[in-house]
Amino acid sequence: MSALRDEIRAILRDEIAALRSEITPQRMPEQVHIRTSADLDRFARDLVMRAQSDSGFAAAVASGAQCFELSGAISAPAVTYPQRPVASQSAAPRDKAEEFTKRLVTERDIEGLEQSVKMLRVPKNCRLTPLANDEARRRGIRIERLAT
Amino acid sequence: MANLALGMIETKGYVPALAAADAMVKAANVEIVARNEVGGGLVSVVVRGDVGAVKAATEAGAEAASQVGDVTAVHVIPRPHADLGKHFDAAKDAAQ
Repeated sequence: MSALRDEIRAILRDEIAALRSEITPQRMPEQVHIRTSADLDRFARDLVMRAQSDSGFAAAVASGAQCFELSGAISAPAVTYPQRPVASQSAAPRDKAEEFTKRLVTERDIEGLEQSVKMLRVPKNCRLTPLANDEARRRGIRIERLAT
Repeated sequence: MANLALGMIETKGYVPALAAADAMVKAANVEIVARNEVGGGLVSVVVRGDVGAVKAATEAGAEAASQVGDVTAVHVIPRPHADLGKHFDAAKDAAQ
């Protein structure tokens, strides 16, 4: 039994080693200093030159294995990369707000809301039943009355 | 029968108040203790019972009344004070 196990282990070791050699190592992100348009110009020219002389580098850049980082604290993205996921956290806030236009909000209306809804806007003259109030408080939903 | 909760629904007009009263007594184990016609078309219905029953009843009553007309106020007093009965007829039996 243990002989079989050893054999399987040896085979796996060989296979994994073969797989590892196939995978190209992840390249370290390269620091790029870009402050002006001239810097950007120089960086682009340098990139093309290096890509022409080194086909491995060109492939790495194209596949996204080689990425670049701006040196210094520049918040504005000077160069964008198609492989990098675009920051979308600000576009989809976690706490959603819902708006009602009716004059009476019951517990059933609150229960019908999605769990992610944490804010409810209602008209100024809107009434909430006591149970609807309890349910909203239990779920941590803030009620905001609109001015009009 | 001490410390029964009070539930109140006030509507604009008689018909929504009647609809609310009907829905309240049908929805939960509550009894109607008062019907007030304040004037200006406002009619209020007061029920009493256990807190949970009163809350469920006002919920159903308010929904029924809002189908028919306008609800101006919905409220529940879970434990009315005894003094309420001295000056408010609606709270007389509930808060003794």
